[in-house]
Amino acid sequence: MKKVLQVTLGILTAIGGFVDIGDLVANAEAGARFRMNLAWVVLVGVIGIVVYAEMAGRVAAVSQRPVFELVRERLGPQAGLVNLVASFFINFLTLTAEIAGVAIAISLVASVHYGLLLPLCGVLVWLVIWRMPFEWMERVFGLAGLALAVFVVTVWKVGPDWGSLFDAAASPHVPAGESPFSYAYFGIALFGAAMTPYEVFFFSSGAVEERWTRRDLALNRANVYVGFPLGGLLSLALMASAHLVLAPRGVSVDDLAQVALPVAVVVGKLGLAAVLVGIFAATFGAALETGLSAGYSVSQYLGWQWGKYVRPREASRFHLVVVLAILGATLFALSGVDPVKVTEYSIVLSAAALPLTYFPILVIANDPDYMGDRTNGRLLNAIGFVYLVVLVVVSAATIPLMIITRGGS
Amino acid sequence: MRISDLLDRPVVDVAGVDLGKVHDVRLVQDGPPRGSALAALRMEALVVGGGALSVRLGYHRHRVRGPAPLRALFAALERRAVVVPWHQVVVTDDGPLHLRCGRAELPGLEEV
Amino acid sequence: MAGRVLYAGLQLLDRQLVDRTGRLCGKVDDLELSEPGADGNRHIAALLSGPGALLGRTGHRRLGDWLRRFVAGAFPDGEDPVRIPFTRVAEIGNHVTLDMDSEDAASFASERWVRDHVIGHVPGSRVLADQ
Repeated sequence: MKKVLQVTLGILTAIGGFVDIGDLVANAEAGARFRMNLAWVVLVGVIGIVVYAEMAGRVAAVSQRPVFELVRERLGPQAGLVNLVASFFINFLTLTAEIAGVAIAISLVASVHYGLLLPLCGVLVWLVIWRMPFEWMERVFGLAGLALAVFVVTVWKVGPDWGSLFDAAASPHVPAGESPFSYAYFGIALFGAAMTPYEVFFFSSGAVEERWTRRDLALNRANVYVGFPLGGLLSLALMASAHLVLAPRGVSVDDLAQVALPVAVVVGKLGLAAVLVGIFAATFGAALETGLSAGYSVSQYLGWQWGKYVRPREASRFHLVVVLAILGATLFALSGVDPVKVTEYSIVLSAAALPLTYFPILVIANDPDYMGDRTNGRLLNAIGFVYLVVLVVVSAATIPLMIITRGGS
Repeated sequence: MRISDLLDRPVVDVAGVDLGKVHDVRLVQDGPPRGSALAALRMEALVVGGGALSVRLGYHRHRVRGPAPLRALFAALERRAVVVPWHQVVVTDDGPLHLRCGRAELPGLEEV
Repeated sequence: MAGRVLYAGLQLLDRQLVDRTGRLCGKVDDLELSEPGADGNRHIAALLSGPGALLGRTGHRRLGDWLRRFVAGAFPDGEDPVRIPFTRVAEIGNHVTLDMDSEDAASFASERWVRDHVIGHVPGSRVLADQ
């Protein structure tokens, strides 16, 4: 049982990356509007993050250096700064949205306006980061987030024609009534959700937090092969639930309540309870991931001591950054911003950060000075290179598409 | 003087030919140890030209192995750099660094 | 006698500094060169790390020097907040190890300040989270 629990870093990273509040809505909306025609994007994204997260984890395990450092080290302080600024704002915006998401999840149960719960949620997120051991964070929020598997149950219960479901996913096209630009924009959003930079930063920092060494390379692979595919599965289940339940009824997805609708309709009250637990855990987990990543990124750029693996007073500046980020995000959420809109803007910043993030990882994973004999094999390099090209294309296309489609409306 | 005073400075040989910018500095650890475990690092040469990114990535000198297309591109660019022995450099505060010799006398970036 | 060859940009600059206990204490932001010796050679005299050094490296020398003086004045430990003599370097690998405690690194002043004035006052700051 202990061994099974050791993959929780991968699970938490994936949950916070694949099914945070922005992606919950994006996946459901994609299913409602585009049916299963974007399923292949999730698959492509999962493969990409599996490949790069494994590299990032391997670099951290072998060299004890987290990958965020590599951007400054290999591309220079100026490129590193661009990456830092973009990453920090992605973290900040996402953190804002997640804290709001936690509050919304609670408000769906407590019948209190979510705005009143925001300060409490901010404090809770900070308290968990301050006091909960890293491994416990992974286990509690990673595993509780898997309650979103109720979407898989939902799809199962609907009992669709599996043959036609797979056929629909396997032969994607732009559905009638939707423009190819919107299709491409949603595709990029889903792909960006799978390969969000903070996932690899968090995963590799987590590997150092967990004190992984060269002997943990198999553990690294287990985390990656279990965690991210699970995240992808949840994404697909969300998409399929919306496709099977919402689309036929012509329901569009604008907020979290509609995301949960298919489960409520198909599985009933128990299912709804599971969804709420899952959403709470996933958004809370994402808040932890982005809150910590805000601290990791600044500290790793400037060389400060960071991490929960030392006593807080020994990483004071790191913790200060985390506190300020949470405080700022809570205040921003209190100003009434729509959390889903906020995550859309963070997609734009992600576009800037994607190539800057992944390019150095691919280079370092091949550097014998860092990796000793654990450099990439040829097949891995080929796949990594293809994805790098895809990332550059995605990066270049994001802003024009966002403008053309007016944010996917 | 700091190393940042040298990096990114344009370098011009004795004939006025522009050789590119300084992208790295070659140090040799053969100085006398001065109260520390490590021998002092002596400034030996400047690495000039070859593109800032390719020199930073170290595909050639660091023997980074792949992926193949990146290696082909960056190692080829990096190898175009020249190594300027320090004593050939006339140190000035501003503007391009002038050399006492011509381009033809400068070795390329040899295998480490 | 042939010595080890190192490239400043590739292997020293922007690398993590680690103290002798394993604590992280800044990045190598810049390198200070010695004056020419009798043989005309210059050596690396010191690593520069901390407030102002990175600004100086990226072309904002005046702003960087101002910041350096400001920090030196604000945290009057008397030491230059930025300069780490090369004699304190123990090892150069994928990071640079110093043979001193980060507590003694002058660039540590801001960490100490935040610790003593902010984080240190929060309950639980002395305790490792898995207790």
